[in-house]
Formats: sequence, C-alpha cells, structure tokens
Amino acid sequence: MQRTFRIFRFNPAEDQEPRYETFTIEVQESWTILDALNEIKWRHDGTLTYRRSCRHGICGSCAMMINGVNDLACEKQVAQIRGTITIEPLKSFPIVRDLLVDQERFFENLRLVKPWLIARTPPPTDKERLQSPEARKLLDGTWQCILCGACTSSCPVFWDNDNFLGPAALLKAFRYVADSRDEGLDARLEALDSKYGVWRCHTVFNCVEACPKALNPTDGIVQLRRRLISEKL
Amino acid sequence: MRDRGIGSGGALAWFFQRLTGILLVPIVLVHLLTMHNWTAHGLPWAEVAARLSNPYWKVLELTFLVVALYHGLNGLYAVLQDYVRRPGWRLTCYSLVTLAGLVLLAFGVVTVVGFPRAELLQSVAQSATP
Repeated sequence: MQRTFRIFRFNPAEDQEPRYETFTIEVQESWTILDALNEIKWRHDGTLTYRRSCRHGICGSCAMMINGVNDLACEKQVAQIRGTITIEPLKSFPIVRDLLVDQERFFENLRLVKPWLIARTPPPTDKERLQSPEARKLLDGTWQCILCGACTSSCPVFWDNDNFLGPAALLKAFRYVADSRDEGLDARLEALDSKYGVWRCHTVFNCVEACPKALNPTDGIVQLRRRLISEKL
Repeated sequence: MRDRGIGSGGALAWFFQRLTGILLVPIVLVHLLTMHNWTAHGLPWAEVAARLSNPYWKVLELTFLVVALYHGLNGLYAVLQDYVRRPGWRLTCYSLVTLAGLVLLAFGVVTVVGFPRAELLQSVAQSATP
C-alpha cells in the first residue's frame, strides 16, 4: 500500500525558512507513523531528523504533530489516517532540526514544581513509607505521564508565554501534592501559586485532547486550585 | 534570568471571579426582568422610581453594580495579562482598567443612591397635574 507523507523540514544552519517535503512510500497495514518515519530515514533520506527511542509509547521521545494533532509517532497507526499524512514538530518549542525540538523549557518548568516526594517526617525504620490502597488509588491518572510534552505544546497559554508552567508540570505537581506521604505543598507554593502557575490556566482542555496516555491535566490543575484555595481560606 | 512571577499569585482574583460569577446569575435575571422593557405595559418611569425608593431594591442594584464591575474588569485584567506583553504597556492598561472601574463605580453609586432625584419627582408630579 502506497502512502504519502508531507514532512516539515528545517535545518537552521542552512535553511532560511522551513519547507515541507513529500515522500510517497510503500507501507504495511500494521505500521505506526514511527515505522514510516524510520522507512523514510533508512531507505529514502538519511538526513530526516526526529527523536525516538523505545517505540512502545513509554519513553515519551517521539511526540510530534500528526495531521495537526499532537500524538506519539510510535502509537499512531498509519491506517488510522486517511489521505496525505502531514507530520510537523511540536509547536512552541525551538526547532533543532526537522521534527526534533528543544524541550529545555519544558523540563525547566517541570523542575520548578519539585517533582519528587518531599517528606519531613522521618521514614519508619522497620518498613517503607506505606500508603493505603485507597490513598494510592487517588494517584491514578497522574503517575502515568511519560513527559512527552504533547500537552504543554498544545496549550495556547504556553504558546503565548512559555513562563507558564504548563499542563505536564502542573499534573506532575498534583501527582505529589495528592500523595498521602507527601508534605511538600509549602515548598511547591512559590511555583504553583505564582503568576505563571495554576491560575494562568484558562481551561481550554487542549491538553486533555492531546495527551497520548488519555490523562486529564486540566482536572489535576483544577484540583490543585481547590487545594490552594482551601489552604488560603 | 526568567520571570517566575513569584508572589503575584492570582488566587484571590480567581476565587472572586467564580464567586461573583455565581452571584451574577440570579442578580442579572432579576435586573433584566425588572429593569428592561419586557413587560406588556412597558417600563413606566414612576414604577422604576417607586421600586428604587425602596432600600432593599437599592441594595440589590448596588450589589449588582459592584459585582458586575468587579467581574467584568477582573476578566479584562486577566485578558490583558495574557495579551499585553510589554510591562510598561501592561501597567498602563491595568491603570486604565482601574481608573475606568473607579469612575464607573462613582457614576453607578450616584445614580442608584440618588435615584429618584427630587427635582425629577417634582417635575413628573407637576406634569401629572392638569
């Protein structure tokens, strides 16, 4: 089966402006977009640049915009899309080359929310810090984030101002704030309660649509707000 | 060095935007039903004057004034925060919004508290007598 791919190309060292290059290749029924990109790179044009690693939807490397929608190249099937398939890099990150973007700001924002367990209470000496199954269940829908950046790059508030922490960092913050073992809300307040924290979200829900893991960052942000308001009142 | 926007929060602005939004639903309904020309007999001046000489109606209209002004201008403030990038311009816009709020508040308070004005009442009473 022949399929046509229209791929965003840009090499800042040589090109004045980005361009689109079209490749028509033979694909198999079961291929993912990543399989097709590999086919193009390995057999047609070795200069095509993109990031990929696990090809199992768990490393978060291959997020890109496929026909205008952010998704993981390794999870999106070629057969799911009709007609020409347009592949572009994630929006609002600086382009290193072709589909490869510089996600430094994304990870910088993540670090600001201190995405680790903060506990002042010393751990028990005879066992781990235990958590009830009910308390653990509250974290479902937060820990599955693979930090691919699809949500943050789909957020119009982030397009406008990349100081905004973005849905991924805020969902990760919620993952720890909601953890029964965590005592780090105060330490995270500086970032969460800032001008670029939870209050900057305008509940556009693009992040919910973009997440390839079907998570709901907006819900996490709303719950963080609820928590911050109840702390203040 | 990036701007981390520390300390400026927005928690209270967000909270009061929700609170005023909820308050506005019944108040706007009452206001629209009583103060707009929707009844079969229109909106006679005397009826409005009679209603607004009642302190409860005055309090309701004043609440509407304060709540609606806050809600609208706070919303505008949030829009400016997103769309006006240059700090100097942003400060100018914020100042204009605040100034507009104060002026409109003053107009509104004078209108509602002072209504119906004695001379108007008098002139209506005069025109009513043949």
